[in-house]
Amino acid sequence: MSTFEKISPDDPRLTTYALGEMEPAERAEFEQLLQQDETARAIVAEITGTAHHLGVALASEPEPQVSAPSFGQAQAAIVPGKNFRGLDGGLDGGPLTRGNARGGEYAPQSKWRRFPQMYFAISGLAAACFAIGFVLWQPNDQPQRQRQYTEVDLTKFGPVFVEGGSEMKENELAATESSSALVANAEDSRHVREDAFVPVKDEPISTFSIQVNPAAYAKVRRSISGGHLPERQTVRIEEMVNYFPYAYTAPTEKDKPFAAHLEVASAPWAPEHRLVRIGLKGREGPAGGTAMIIAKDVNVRVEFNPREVHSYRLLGYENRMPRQEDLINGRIEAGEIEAGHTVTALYEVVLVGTATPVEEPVLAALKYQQPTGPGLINHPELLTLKVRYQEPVADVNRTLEFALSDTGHSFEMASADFKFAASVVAFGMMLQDSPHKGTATFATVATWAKAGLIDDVAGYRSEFVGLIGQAERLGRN
Amino acid sequence: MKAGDVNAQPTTYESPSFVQTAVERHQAPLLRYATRLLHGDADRARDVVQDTFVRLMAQPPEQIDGHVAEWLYTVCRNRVLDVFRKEGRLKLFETGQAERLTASDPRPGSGLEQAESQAAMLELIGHLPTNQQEVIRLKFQSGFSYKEISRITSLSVSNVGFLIHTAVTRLRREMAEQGD
Repeated sequence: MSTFEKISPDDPRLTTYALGEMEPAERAEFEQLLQQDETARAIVAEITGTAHHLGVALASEPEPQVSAPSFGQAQAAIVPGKNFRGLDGGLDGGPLTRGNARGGEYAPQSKWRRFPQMYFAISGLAAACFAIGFVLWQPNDQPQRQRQYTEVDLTKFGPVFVEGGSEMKENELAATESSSALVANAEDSRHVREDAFVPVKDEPISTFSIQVNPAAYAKVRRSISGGHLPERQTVRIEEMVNYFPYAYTAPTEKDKPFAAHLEVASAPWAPEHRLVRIGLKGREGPAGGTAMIIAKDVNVRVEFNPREVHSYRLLGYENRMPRQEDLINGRIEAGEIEAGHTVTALYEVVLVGTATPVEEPVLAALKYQQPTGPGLINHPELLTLKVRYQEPVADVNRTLEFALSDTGHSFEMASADFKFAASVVAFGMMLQDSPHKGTATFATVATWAKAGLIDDVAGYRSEFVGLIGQAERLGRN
Repeated sequence: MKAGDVNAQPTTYESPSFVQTAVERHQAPLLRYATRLLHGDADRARDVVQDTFVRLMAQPPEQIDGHVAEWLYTVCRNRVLDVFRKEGRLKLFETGQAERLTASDPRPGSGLEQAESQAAMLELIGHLPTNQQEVIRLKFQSGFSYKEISRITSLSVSNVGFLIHTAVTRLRREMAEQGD
């Protein structure tokens, strides 16, 4: 009956699309095909689930222990080697320098490889050399960075230390940086700001994808660890938030495939705003059974109460905002959900009668609006979460509803999971240099994250705290 | 720890920690990557990784700033190829043996079930053809994009896409079978 060609399950575009690797033009075209092809949509959803699972499993794989003391020395030796670029125009240093100054082609093994013990000697010498170099280098750090160019002439079995070096001005630095950034990151040019506050009167219903690939966090971590802050457009807040495990309990009632964990407290970066955390946890499967489908055609809607909520914004999910009408009709991204599936989404919410977001001028009159605003005493309902799904076997639509009332909690009163997730969001906003970051600084973000350091069995959260410190040192405030 | 503690000394991209940080942070993952390529030969992997970092020292930082990781993986991989070439092995994946280093010892997760499921997934990954394992790890463990993986492995972007799709499809099927 089909008047169009079905997408073959072997078509690699399904995975390319699911992983967000598709170029915008192709993506738009492919989405049209998907709209007509329910089977393909289901496969995309499954791939997204598998991708998530893969990311989590591979993150759990231990890294080899690095203990060789020679390497510790090498690290020290490498520090001044930051400037191992040969003198300008002078590439006639050691064979190593010559071999590598041309990007792309990497030189054949040099002499030291055949005599590994040379390496240790060189490490030691270079380390000593660094000690001297560092002392010389320190006082000249400001305002113009004076560089020391250091070379290890391996053929002579010892280091040659060259003082002085050339100077490079701030703007030149910036220029080289941005040009390399161009090379490094042509991959994501489709960034559009989609994180503005949405008035509830315009759009009372919001939705988010329940399948989130956590790969972006690994990317952010790798970038910061590698000594530079990630490109703003590669920072994906929802992927960062969903990288971390949270202590959501699974549903206890047999007929409910999902439990919702809703919480609201002050947004730490904007205490006048409320922060809503929606945690969804799927029913657990039998031990060992991992791919049991607990529900299909799942989609999630959040309906805000216009009497309490003036406007809201979904944190993260930029670039991938599905068209609202598609989601509401369940046409895109409605997928199968495996046992134990967890997803977390956060909204920053402006209550009726409180200060409006920055993009709208604050009227003095609002002062008199306060009493009619959210009566915190009454624990007003802010929103209702509606999860629509089908049982895996029966094609009957079911809906679970969860309402959230605001008990007026301050951030300090919130749960550890809440605080931690908030810190991840704030960190993402810092890295994006988002206009919504409010009072957040790397220092305050670290404080919030530390407040969430509970049940950190796998050490993910403390690693995150370390990452904030590194980001701060790399500095983009 | 006080709030101000992370506020140590703000430095810039040009701080001397550039290469040092690269070593600290990429050494272990790179070692893991190299060890796999070298079919579990940890000693040789350490040589290759050391070599890679020595080469990093020789790089003009501004040329690789912003893509240090990609650079390291590319160079590391080429060093591995050199090792194989020397030993007369023609291709990187000739032996095709599925070496497994880890799956026995998953990090403690939030629950036993989760750890089991992760171990099961790692086990399945270990049975993929080695070229698929490599791209799967580069994608889902190291977080590289298709384009970056293409540059690291010298495969075309569409080839990378094909390998990842094939691997994910197989893993999805196998995980589903295990679940039954």
